[in-house]
Amino acid sequence: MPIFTLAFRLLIPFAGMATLAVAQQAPAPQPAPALFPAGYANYETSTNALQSVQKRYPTLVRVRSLGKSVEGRELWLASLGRPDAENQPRRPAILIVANLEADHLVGTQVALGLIERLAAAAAEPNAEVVSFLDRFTIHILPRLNPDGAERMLANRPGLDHRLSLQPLDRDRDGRKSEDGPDDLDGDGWALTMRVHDLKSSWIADATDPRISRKADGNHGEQAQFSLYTEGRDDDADGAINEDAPGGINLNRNWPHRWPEFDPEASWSPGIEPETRPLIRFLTEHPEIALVWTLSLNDTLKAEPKKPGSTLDDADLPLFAELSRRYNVALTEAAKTAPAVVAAPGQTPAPITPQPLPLKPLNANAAPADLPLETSQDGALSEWAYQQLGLVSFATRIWVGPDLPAPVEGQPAPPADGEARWLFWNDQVVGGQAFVPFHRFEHPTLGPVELGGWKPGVRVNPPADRLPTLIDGHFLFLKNLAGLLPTLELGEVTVLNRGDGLFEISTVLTNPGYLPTQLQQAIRTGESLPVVVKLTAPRGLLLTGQPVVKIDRLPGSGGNRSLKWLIQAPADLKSVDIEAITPRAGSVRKSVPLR
Amino acid sequence: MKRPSRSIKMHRDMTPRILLAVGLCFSCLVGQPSKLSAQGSDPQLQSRVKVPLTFNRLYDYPALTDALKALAAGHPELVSMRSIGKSVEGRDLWCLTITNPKTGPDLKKPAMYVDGNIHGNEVQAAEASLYLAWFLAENYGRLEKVTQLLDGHTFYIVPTVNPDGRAHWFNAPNTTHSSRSGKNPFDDDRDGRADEDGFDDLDGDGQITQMRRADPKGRWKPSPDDPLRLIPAEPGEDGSYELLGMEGIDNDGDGRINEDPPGGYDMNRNFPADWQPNHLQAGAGPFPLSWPETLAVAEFIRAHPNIGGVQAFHNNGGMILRGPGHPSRQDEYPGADEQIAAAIGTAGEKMLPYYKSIVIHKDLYPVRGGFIGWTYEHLGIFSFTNELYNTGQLLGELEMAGKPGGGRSEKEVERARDRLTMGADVVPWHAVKHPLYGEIEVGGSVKQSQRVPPSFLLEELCHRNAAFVMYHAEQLPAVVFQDLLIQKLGPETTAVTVAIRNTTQIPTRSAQAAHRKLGRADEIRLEGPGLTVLTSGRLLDRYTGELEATEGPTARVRLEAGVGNAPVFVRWIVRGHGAANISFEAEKAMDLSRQVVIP
Repeated sequence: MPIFTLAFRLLIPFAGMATLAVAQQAPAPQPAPALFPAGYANYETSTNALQSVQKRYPTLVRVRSLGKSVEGRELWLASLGRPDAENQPRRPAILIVANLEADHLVGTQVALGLIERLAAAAAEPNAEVVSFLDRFTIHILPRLNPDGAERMLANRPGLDHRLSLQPLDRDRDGRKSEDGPDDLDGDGWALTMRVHDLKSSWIADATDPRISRKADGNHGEQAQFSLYTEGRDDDADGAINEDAPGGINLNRNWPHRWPEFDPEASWSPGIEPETRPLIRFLTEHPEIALVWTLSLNDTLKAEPKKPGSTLDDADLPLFAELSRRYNVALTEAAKTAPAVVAAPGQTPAPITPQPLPLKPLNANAAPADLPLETSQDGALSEWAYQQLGLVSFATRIWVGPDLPAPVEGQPAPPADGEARWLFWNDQVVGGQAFVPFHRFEHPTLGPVELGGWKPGVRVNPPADRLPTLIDGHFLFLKNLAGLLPTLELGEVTVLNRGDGLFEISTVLTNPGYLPTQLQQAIRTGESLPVVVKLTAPRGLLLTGQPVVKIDRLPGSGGNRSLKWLIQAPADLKSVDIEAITPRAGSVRKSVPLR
Repeated sequence: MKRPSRSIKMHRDMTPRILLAVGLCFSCLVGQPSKLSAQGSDPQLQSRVKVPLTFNRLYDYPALTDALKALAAGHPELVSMRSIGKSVEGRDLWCLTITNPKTGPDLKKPAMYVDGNIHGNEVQAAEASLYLAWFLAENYGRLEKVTQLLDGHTFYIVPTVNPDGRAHWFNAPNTTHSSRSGKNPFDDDRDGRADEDGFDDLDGDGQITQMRRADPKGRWKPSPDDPLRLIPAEPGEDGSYELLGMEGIDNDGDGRINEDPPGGYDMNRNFPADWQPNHLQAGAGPFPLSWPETLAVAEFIRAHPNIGGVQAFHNNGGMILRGPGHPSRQDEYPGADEQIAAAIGTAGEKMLPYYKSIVIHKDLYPVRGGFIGWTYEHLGIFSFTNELYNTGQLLGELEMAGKPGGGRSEKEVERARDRLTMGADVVPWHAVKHPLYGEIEVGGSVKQSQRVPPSFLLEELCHRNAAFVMYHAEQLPAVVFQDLLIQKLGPETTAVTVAIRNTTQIPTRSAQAAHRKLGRADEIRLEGPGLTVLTSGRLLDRYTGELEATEGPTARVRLEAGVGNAPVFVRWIVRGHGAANISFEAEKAMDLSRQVVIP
């Protein structure tokens, strides 16, 4: 799990620096921070937040709905630009999409934060942001999965939910969504259910029985239980939770390496009420130069490297640099982060791992915890790069628990995995995140154990961490302005060769860091080239073409010399040179003929 | 396109006569619905025709719409008409549903889906579809086989999936190959503008033919065999013409001619199975089902899980095509299905002289994201594309050398065709003025030639292909109860065993559907008020009694692999007595039920 390892290395030192002084003084006990979902915006709150930003900055921000979700919620898109977001020429644009996965709500919070900060800074006016919004339009879609998010936040019963609310018939029995998880013990949560099972393969870890792990038969360990999501056989077909509500994973519904035959990827890429308006928006806006998803998959936190990376060799170093800058921005922001302090709760008495009564089951076991590692197959960010050749990446935002700096003489927190999360649960959030396993008499299975992680707490940080995360991502977003490609026409030389013949030459340059077209864009041909036109009414072009297409201008001053020889009638006083490529903008010069 | 030349010069004012000649000889382009007349050599049929339609002509979109309406109005007890969506330019995608509703609603019967003309220029696909609808409706109650087909099956027929491309082909100057695309603007030359430089009909004759210019040093010369044709000059020899491409001018001033015509994509590369972007599959479109036409078709088919057979009509070449469209998809074509599809295709060859039953990627060219690839791979439906018309049909004796149309030289075919069509296929070379090239000549094949048969062959083409579709429909699953065995195990308990089998070639579930778990599995149930099921399941071995027991146990037994020609045995062990019902349900077969009494 490279992401976690990296997170540990990156986050802990910063947190450590910030808390060093406190740690030495042995901190007084603090109230535990409010855990997710406290402080997170539901549909109504996020809609209101967007509308109030638009109200406050009516020219800078335009909010519109791209479409409606399965359950009829609006898919809000905020577009920011100067001087007027409503009536803009098509200048290069950035698209940020959040909450493709229902449970990734931190994405929405950061997206809303970015909108608010951009608008506020532009109104201030902050020169850096003003110039950014003079050059680019920034489209931000904070919540692509409002139905799933709402379910996640409703909390009755609280259950993990990643998908849209598109009804599926997973067990192909002609009925949809008729057997999902249930809150059996009435504690408000549908958590993990341990069931003793002939086909089991799981065992409670000896050092911390809250941890479920695979039994190691080679060391004589005997499996104890199967893991289910808490629930019963609602439709009396012999299987438990086999047809849960929802849905489609909206970050698996994009055409590149789309997982066909996986019902959760839907029956065609870009077909869902939520994805179709967005894929249409993307393909109808060739000026979008960059796509950034705030989503569970992350392609930026860890430096992209071969052979894992699917980037073209020529593009790889560019993304490595973006990754570096992303981490620098997060580091910078973390310097002012509030300290993580220990707030131990009542450490729950671990239940003794005594065997549950045997209950043979043939039903398919649902995974107890949503996997934190996610695939790139069918992901929006992958498609945007692989097919459209866009600068495109994904960031998860919060990649692991924030732990206090180790106090001298105390054992260091576990480095990885469940134990590290449990350490965070016990020492930082006062034991709120993990519900200890407890016995329960299941209606058909007999005695089972119920417990485990509360939904969403390992994806979404406690709300007190959000401002720092927004700071870091805002910093990186502002950085991008200087990295994106742009077009500059150099000095134009006109040589009069007599008989009305003029030799016109100039140099077209890209002073940005990124090239006008990634190598992948050239391969797929889905990005328009740089089109240079010499407009000479009634003039006769003797050399050069009236339309020059340049596939790619490299970044950091990559350039192309341009030369034309024209024969101009005596009354033609000037010609125009125009260069345009939607993803880097346009430049135009009028050239006097003398 | 290499085209012949002819020494006759033609003036611009002669062009209407050429068109008139085409219209009169072959009724190729337009006809008023009011002109519809009874057709057919069978006097009995002629006297009983309710909706007289002719099939020696082509129907433009309005005429086609009228013909479909007439068919629905003339056969209200069998035919209903609806729009399943609208094209880019807002034309309706008409669909006829044909079945006898008195024997059950359309959705409860195994169905054939038939469409055509997804490529706008492949026009006679719509006439073939229309013919099928007409033939079925007219012959219900008259021909026993047709009556059975409509009592036990449903036909969904969409004659044109690309009405915009069709309209543009009829209404605008075209070559026989142009207007294949739908009409969403597309930037072919990637200059930021779409559809800004298409063909230009220099002589105003409604045809886009070739341009040539007399040039004593040109590299082309008239063929000594046929002065209409240009052939390359020999090395060292001076020719007499240079070729300048198809009729057109540089509309957008970029120095190139005809480089961005209307549209520019291929709707038959826009389906979700093995869809690949443009750089891997030309014409794919921006994403699967991006066009209103392809989306409408896909949603319609998904909403009709009773569809068990798909037929798409195209032109041309004389082919009965089946997947896979690309070698990488071979794994999605289990052998059991391939055997059935090949057998149906081979039967088709017998009905369709000059047609070859072949596999797309092996025998034609690779196709990714094609329509029938999707219907088979993702929906498990046995699917064919017929490429209507082989120029060999014009002569009747062409030797088929592996490739459709092969065997004889193109020249021989064309010369023989000229004798049969009396020159109607060709615009002779004649002078026009070109803004860039100056004095040039234009001439060559008309758009109604090559891919489209002359009118006297069109009706035959329609009928033979309709016959193939009807044959395919007859192979849709028809399940029967074969054996029923009731064994008392004691005074209170009974073993009920039933055998069901399919009597046609196509099983209730294709091997692909079973393998990929597509659609609902078949289900068989034993239900009675006085019965409790103790165990149930499919008999793995009818002799030893080995049972694949269901979870539960339940009265319902799921048959994921469906029912084919080999009988499937299902057994329930029940407690109790009295009347009971055994019922079988499959998505692509008629429901079946049978009363039993447990003593």
